[in-house]
Amino acid sequence: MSLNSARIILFPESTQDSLKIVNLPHPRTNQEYHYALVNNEELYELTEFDNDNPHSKTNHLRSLTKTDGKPVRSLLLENVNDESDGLVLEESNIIISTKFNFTYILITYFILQLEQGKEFRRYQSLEDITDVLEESIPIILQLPGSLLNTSLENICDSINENDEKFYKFSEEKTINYLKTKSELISQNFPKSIESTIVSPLLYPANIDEKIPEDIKKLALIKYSIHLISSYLHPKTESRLNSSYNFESVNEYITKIQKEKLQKKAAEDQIQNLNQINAQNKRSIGVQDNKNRKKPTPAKKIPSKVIKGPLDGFFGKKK
Amino acid sequence: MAEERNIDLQSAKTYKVNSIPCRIRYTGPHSSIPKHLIKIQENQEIITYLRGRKLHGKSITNIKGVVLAKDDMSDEIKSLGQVNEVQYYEREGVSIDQVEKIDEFVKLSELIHG
Repeated sequence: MSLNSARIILFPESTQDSLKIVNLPHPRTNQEYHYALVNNEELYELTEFDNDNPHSKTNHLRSLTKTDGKPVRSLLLENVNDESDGLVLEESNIIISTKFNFTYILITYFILQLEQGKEFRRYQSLEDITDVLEESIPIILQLPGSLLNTSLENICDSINENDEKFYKFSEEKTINYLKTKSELISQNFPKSIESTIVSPLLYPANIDEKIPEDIKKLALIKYSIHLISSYLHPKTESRLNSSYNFESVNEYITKIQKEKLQKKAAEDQIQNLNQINAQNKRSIGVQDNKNRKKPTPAKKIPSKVIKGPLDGFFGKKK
Repeated sequence: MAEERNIDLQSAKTYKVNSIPCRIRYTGPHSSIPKHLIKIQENQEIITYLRGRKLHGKSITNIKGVVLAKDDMSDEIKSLGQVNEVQYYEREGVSIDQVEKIDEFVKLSELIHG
């Protein structure tokens, strides 16, 4: 067993008996990507945390090794039951697995089919859909049927006939499903992203003014779509964006930015004036100094030498 | 090409993982890690010293995991043990915001994929 290849995979929950690594197309890029199927029930996405965050302004400050530019970090594994049985791993990356919604893969699949001119006019049984999907996603047969069922329910119109369910892809249902997701995220928007990206854009130029509630709500929905868009095909993203009217937010941001620029220009102008004033004062001071008559030093009056009784003693020899 | 790898996660060993801000030029077994990492709990933080350097850390909560490694001979991925805790350390004066970021990432992911 090679420890050089050792990796730590973290799961949000504690019960994992079996893990299957499967390759599936990523919903955004449609390129194959590793996913984990846990206990043959749930699909998990694997995200590697390597302490490198290109979006962070302080990213360049992180410590890196000189030779390979990798983050300076290692792992020490303590065996809980036996202190003498520990492990040291030079490579520090930890993989975090989080639940993955198969619906996003299906949305991209159906949207690409629509792009190619295919129309979803008739209802199809689960078996027929699986057969068609197998051509693009061969691993589909290995996935639990419940995953496919739940995902189809989210984005397809369905009918029941003779105890069998038939599905038909609905773009309208898909957009409504994604809208519900976006609004849910906007209500629980990550605080760090809100404080570093969204709020600075919305703060009015005047500190006493507050961000209008309706604008903030709409802006959070807009940025929630940005967050989901990592799992959406660009076409789906633009369709989801066009289902909202973000004109008021865009206008507000443009107006705020204009006001901020004007405020900054005014502040810069005041600063320049202050600097000019300070320079003028200094130059006037210098001129004053030049014009001022230099005080004439008082003439030194040489003190008269008075001959004393011992002067003859120190005098030149005659 | 479709790829599928089954990994049995049952393992007798349980590890506590310490992520430390220095690069150790060694990968392999070690017999006395706890002796090198004596920990003191201070409020929400864990304080430890590594070769005289003060480190402060935090536990990543609500997370369990596995240590996986590839068998060179059979190319199979095997479990080396379970992970019951992860402690993330930084040097004194450096913020441990990575722990909060991981927590936030997991919560956001639950909203996107829930």
